[in-house]
Order: sequence, then structure tokens, then C-alpha cells
Amino acid sequence: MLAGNMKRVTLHGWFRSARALPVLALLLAAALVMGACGSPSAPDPGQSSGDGQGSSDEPTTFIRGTVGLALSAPFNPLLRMGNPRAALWSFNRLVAYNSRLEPVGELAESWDVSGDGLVYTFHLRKDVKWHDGAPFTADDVIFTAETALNEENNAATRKYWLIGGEPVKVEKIDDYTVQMTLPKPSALFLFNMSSWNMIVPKHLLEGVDLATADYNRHPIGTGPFKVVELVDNQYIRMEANPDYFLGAPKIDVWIDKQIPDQNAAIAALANGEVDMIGIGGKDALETVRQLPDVEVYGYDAGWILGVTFKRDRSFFDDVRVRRALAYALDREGMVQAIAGDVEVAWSLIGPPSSWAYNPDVPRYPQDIEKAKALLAEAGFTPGSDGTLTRDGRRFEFTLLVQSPATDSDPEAFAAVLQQAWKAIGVDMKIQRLDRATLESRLFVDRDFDAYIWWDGYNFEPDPSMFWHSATNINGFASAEIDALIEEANANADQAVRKAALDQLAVKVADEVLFIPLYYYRGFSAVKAYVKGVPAPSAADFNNSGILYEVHKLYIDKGK
Amino acid sequence: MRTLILRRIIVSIPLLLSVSLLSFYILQSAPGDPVAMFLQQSFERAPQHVVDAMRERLGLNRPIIIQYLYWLREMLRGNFGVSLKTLEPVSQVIMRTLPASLLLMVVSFAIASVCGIALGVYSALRPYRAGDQILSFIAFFGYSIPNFWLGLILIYVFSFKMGWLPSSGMVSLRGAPDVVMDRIAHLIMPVATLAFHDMVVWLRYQRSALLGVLGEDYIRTAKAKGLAQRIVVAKHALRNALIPVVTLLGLSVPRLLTGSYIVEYVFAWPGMGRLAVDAIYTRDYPVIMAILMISAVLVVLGNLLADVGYALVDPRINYGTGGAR
Repeated sequence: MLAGNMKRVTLHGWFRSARALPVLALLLAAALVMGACGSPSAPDPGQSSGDGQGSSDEPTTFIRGTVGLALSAPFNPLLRMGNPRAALWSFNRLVAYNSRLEPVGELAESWDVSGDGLVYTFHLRKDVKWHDGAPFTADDVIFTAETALNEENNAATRKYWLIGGEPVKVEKIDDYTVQMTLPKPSALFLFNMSSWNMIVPKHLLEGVDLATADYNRHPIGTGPFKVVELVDNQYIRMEANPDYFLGAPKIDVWIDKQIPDQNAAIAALANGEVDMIGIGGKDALETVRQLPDVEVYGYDAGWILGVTFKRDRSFFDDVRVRRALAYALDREGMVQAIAGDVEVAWSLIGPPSSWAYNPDVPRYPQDIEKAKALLAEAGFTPGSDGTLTRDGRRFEFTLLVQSPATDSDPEAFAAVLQQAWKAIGVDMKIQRLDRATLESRLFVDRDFDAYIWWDGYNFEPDPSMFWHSATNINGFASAEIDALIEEANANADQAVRKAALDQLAVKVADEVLFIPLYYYRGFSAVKAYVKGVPAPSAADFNNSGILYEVHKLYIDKGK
Repeated sequence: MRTLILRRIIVSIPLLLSVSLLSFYILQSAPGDPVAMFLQQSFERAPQHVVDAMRERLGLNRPIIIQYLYWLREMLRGNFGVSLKTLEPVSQVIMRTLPASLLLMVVSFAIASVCGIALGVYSALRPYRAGDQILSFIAFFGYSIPNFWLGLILIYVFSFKMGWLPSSGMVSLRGAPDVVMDRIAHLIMPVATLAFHDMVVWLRYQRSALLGVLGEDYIRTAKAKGLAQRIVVAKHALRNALIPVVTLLGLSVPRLLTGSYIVEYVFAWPGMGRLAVDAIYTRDYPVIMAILMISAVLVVLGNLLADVGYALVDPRINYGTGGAR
């Protein structure tokens, strides 16, 4: 008791004496120092950042603000990257598509195709070196294919090495020649060798556990920029690769900086903290268009926002019901109000600039009377609360939408759709789910009535993911659809391909298996002093947006 | 005092255990499977044997209670497991984020409490005069406006319009700026956002506590003795008025770690709040559990600190068993 008391008095005294103050100050200082040292902020001396060598040329730095993306390890194109586009700056594919969407060689100088379209022989460039100086050879290509194809590795790029579920056979002819044999002809194969299908180095990844490899933080590629520093949720710093085989980049340092909030990103662009940002949403677009020294580039991309129904839920099996739902919507008005200046979608595969676009599909201009008549014909009668019923069942269903999401358009559309369908007596509920729950409901449990989200079709469209019975989750697959997809995917001849895809688009629109709303258009806002940005082509959706051939970008502030 | 601390620590053990069990259970029953998140690429499902192998590797194939016991054993050894997202040790993930969080939170906490308490004293000494009225207005204003709004307004004014301060991140990526000045420049707006909100709370608490004390008899006695106002306030009133504020200080400790998701989001500050929310969205159980446990420990610690602080500012309080007041 006494001892306790003494202790108390001493502590009490300690607190009262001014000694407490320096201790607190010390703690504060410690926190400051920890914070200052905790993140590797100071660039290594001797690297890039003007280290006082008296050289007159400041290194030029280009900073891209990545809005909303998680920016963290793994930085490895074989794995699922939070910020996959960054892999385009430090890695290469065998083939690239230029801004006219023609295939051109990247790591492959050229290729031959056998008459039956089954055997592709790639002749690799001989002047390519990995960032660590090791030469790039056919072994790297073979290793990449084998690693991706090994199921245990769960590689993000596995799909590119499969044709209709069968693996491509990859063989080495010599150090700079690779032969690939397809299980069956494919219109998509060259695209597969482009896209996100980066080649990784065998000498660094062989025998390494891919998931935990140190490589994932210190990647070595062949691309125009070398990764020097990856700070989770802050930035990736890259330096020019002077030996880049397509020409040394004109920018010395390339940084991808994460800025989660769109408004903060716009402020960062305005005051010059970053040189480029992506723009989502029509308000943000209007704001950046008013900035004085900023160029806004728009480009088409193969994304389409729409509503997918599940066949065995609610009354969706009845085509009259689906048509009625389509007639109830004022699609132009909705799209104009929510998304602004974009193309309203009627056809499955777009945008209109794509060769695969088919404008001649059945359209459903808003016609409430027709919608009501179709539902009456289908046997619905209004219930006591105004909601339609058939055989004692109310016409109700739940629309799933991701929330929170970087892109708020789907949620906005959900609310408008709810109103529009209420007007014809359909009771739609909205359920907002976070991404993990939504993906699990859709793809694992396949437990949903309807959802609104983006479907993606490349400029070399492959509708099988959404529509082939082998992978489709909406239950609308049919032998007819499967046959059309297989025909389109097997034929390298674009005319044949288009004919099949056109028929698919007509069928989907005619039976309203999907309600498309609009075609995505990407926008990038770039400081005007950034030059060498290629003019966006009609259908510049080769995954890189406007950042095609980044080694040609340069900064001209004009003294 | 030592017995008090010891007793509180012992009592907190079952508390922390139940917190951990409960959070573990709730997390596991949430929809969304981390392995599916990790393996699934939207429409392409990983083959079942790959999913199974992954579950086994991560120990997710065992019954929940076994998983929990295993997790508990490892945690007691200081091993929080590996992140399901990156397969890195969780401690490494946390340590990468902790310094940034502490820097932001400790600085804003210090500024908010010091300014809040000082302004509260000022208000209480001149109640209902112009200064107090203005401060009251600011307090209600500050308490009512949301953090993200204030943050965005600051960004709009000082980054977008004036171009004086960096809008995001914690380091400048161009050139080689002075490290300390650069860090301070990046701190100003997020700290202001956080501290403004907290400061007005301290202000109101301190004001009402001091006003209450100033009405007490012993203050009148002290004044009647002819003591100077300054001494009355500093020696007699303030000490007593600090008691409720000390409680509040202690209870704010847990916020130091994860209390600022929104501010971190708006200013792209790489802190624990964002780590926690990201981990929840990706069902990264080990990371969430680690953060939850650290927060739980901080809650216990904060309460303990508040009690100790009581005893320090108020000698009348004796937590001993003797029953003396």
C-alpha cells in the first residue's frame, strides 16, 4: 500500500515536472523520423535525380497518375498485376498491334504461317537484351509458355496459350526461332501473342516459386524502362533502358504514381505533380477540358456496359419479358444523362469504329405501351401493389452492382433502370456488393438474377467467354451460339469472322439476351508539353490507350 | 499503480482472445472466398485441384476452429501469417505501412490536442464573449463538415488553384528536394484535415470541463485569497479540468493507427487505413486479423493509459485496493 502510494507520487511528480515535455517531444520527433525514413523516398544518390555532377541536363521525368488502381507487388506479367499497364513499359510481347491495329513484330521480327493456319514460326530479334544484360533467346519464349501453361502456377496469361481449351505446342527450332503448333486454326492466336502476353526471363525465374519470388518486386524485362523501385500504394519508379531495341527512350525517368481519388488526381495534374492522368466520368472530363495547358485524348476501347440476365431466374426465360424490359428504356436519354458524350449501344460487339461492329441489329426505342402489351400477352396481370404477377408470382428480381467501385456509372444506371422498370410494373431491387462478394456470387456460386457491369471485347473479339456454353454464366448458351462463336474464332479470314459475329449480335439483340447501354470511351489528360503522343486512331484500343510506343514520348517545355 | 497495470493487463487477455475469435469467425463467414479471388480471373475458373492445392498451402482447408487455433499459436509467436494477396509475411506488409500512418496520425494528434486544449482554455476563460462565440461557431462547423469534403476543398484551393502544396502522396517524385521540407509540404493538408476535426472536439471538451471547474467553490476560495487569475487557472482550475480530457486522449489512441482511411484515400497517403480497407475488399484475412488485433491491443492500451493519466493528474484517484479516495 505504502509502496504503491510512493510509486504514484513519484509518477505524479514526474508528470508535473517539466521533464515530461521533452519526452513527449522526443516521441513526436521519433515518429517524424520514422515516417521520414520508413518509406524509401530519397532517390539513391548517383541515380537519375540530378546529383550535382554539374551536368547541365536535368533528367526528364514523366509521371503518370494512376487513378484508383492498386499499385503494389507483384510486378510480374505472369501474375495478376494491380496495375497491368505498367508491364507495357518494362516488358515486351512477341507481337504488337500498331495504332492502325495491324500486327507488327515486337520481340519477333517476323513470322510465317503454314497454309492450314496451324503452324506459326516466329523469327526472334537477335538484338534484344534483358535489363540485366543477359541475351533474350528462344528459351525465354519456351519458358514463358510452359510456365503459363502449368496449371499449378495459376498464370494470368495462361488463357493466351490455349486455343479452345487445348494448349499450343511451343518448340525451339534454334536460339532465335520458335515454332508454335495450334490444336486447331484460330483467328485469335496472333492477338494472343500480343495483348498482355509478356515474355519473362528464364534465367531469373526457372525453378523459383512464382508466387513468392523476389522477382515480383524487382522485375527484369526487355522493355523501354527498367523498374528501379516499387513502393506499395505509392509509386513505381522506372529508368530509361538505353539499350532498348526499338530505340532509347527520350524520357529518363518514368514514374507511375498512385492517386486513388479522381479529384486529387486532377489537382495533381493542374499543379504539375503529374504529367498525365486517366479520366473517368463526365464531370471530371469537363474539368480537365478547361485546364489551360492540358491536352485531352479520347480513345475507343472494347468495353460495353450492359445488363445480363440469368435465364432460370425470375421470368427471364420468356423472350417477351426480355423484349418488354428493353422497350421500357429510354436508352439515349439515360446514357446522355449519366455518361454524357458516348455512343449508345444496341449491338453486342462495339464500338462503332471496330470492324466487328454490326449496326443492323433489332433496336428497341422506348415504347411503354408495347412493353406493357408484351407483358400482358405473356400472361401478366397487375397485382394489388401495381407489380405484375403471373401464376401467383410477383415480377421481381435483384440487380447486382459493384459498390464501391472506381466507376460509378453502373450504380447510377441501376437507379435509373429501377425507375424505368417500375413504370411497367416490374419490381427490381438493387443489391450493392463489394468486388469480392460480387465476383464470388457471379463466377463461383453463379447465384444472381441480373447484374450490370462491363463486358469486354477486343478489337479481335472473342465472345466465347460471355456466350459459349463452356464458360457462360447467364445460361443463355445454345448450340447455335456455340457454333457461331466457333466459326468466328476458327477463321483467320476477317470476312468470314465478321459474318458469324454479325449473326451472333443479331441473335443476342433479337432475343434480348443482354441489354447493352453504351460503349466505353477512354480519356487521358496529358500536359501539353508532353510530345510524341500518337494521334489516337479510330479504334485505338490496343490495351495501351494513347501510350503506344512510350519510348518516343518526349518533353518539350520550350525554354 | 503497478498492481493496477498488472491487473488490467491480466483482465485484457480474455478480452483480446474473444475479440480475436469473434473477428476470425465473422471474417470467415463473410461471402467472398480469398482463394477464389486469388485464382479466379473473372470468367476463367481455376481447375479444382489448383484451388484445393492453394487452400491447402494457405491452410484454408481445415475447419475454422482449427484454423483459428493455428492462427492463435502462430500469432503468439509473433507470426501473423502471410498475406493472401502477395504471399508476403503480414508483419512485412504492416511494417511497410506503419511509419507513414504513425507520422500522419501522431503529428495531427499532437497538433489537434495542443491547439484544441489551448483554445478550449481561452474559450472557457472568456465565455460568451466574441472570441468564444467565434470559436464555438468554428467548432460546430468543423465537427459537422465531413473529412473528405474538407480535404478536397483544401486540395482545390492550395493545389488546384494556387499550386502551393502537393495534392497527394508523401514524397515529391521530381528532382531532389530537401527531404524534411518535402515531407512537411506533403503533410500540411492531410494533417490540417485530420487535426481540424479533432481539434474542435478537444476545444469543446476542454471548454466545458474548465467552465465547470471554474464554477466550483474552491476556485472562489482561491480567488478570495487574492491569488492572481493566472495562478488560479493554472494551478487550481486547469489541473482538475484536464481529467475528462485525459480520458479522451487515452481513448483516441486506437485511432492513431487506422482512423484515417478517408483522409489517406483523398491525399493518396499510404497508411494503415487504406491497407485495412484494401485487405477487406480482397478478403486478405491474415492482414485484416493482424490490423484488428493491433487495434484491439491499442484500445486496451488506450484505456489503460487513460486510467494511468487520471491518477497522474488527479492525486485523489487511487486504484489501489485500500478504498481510500
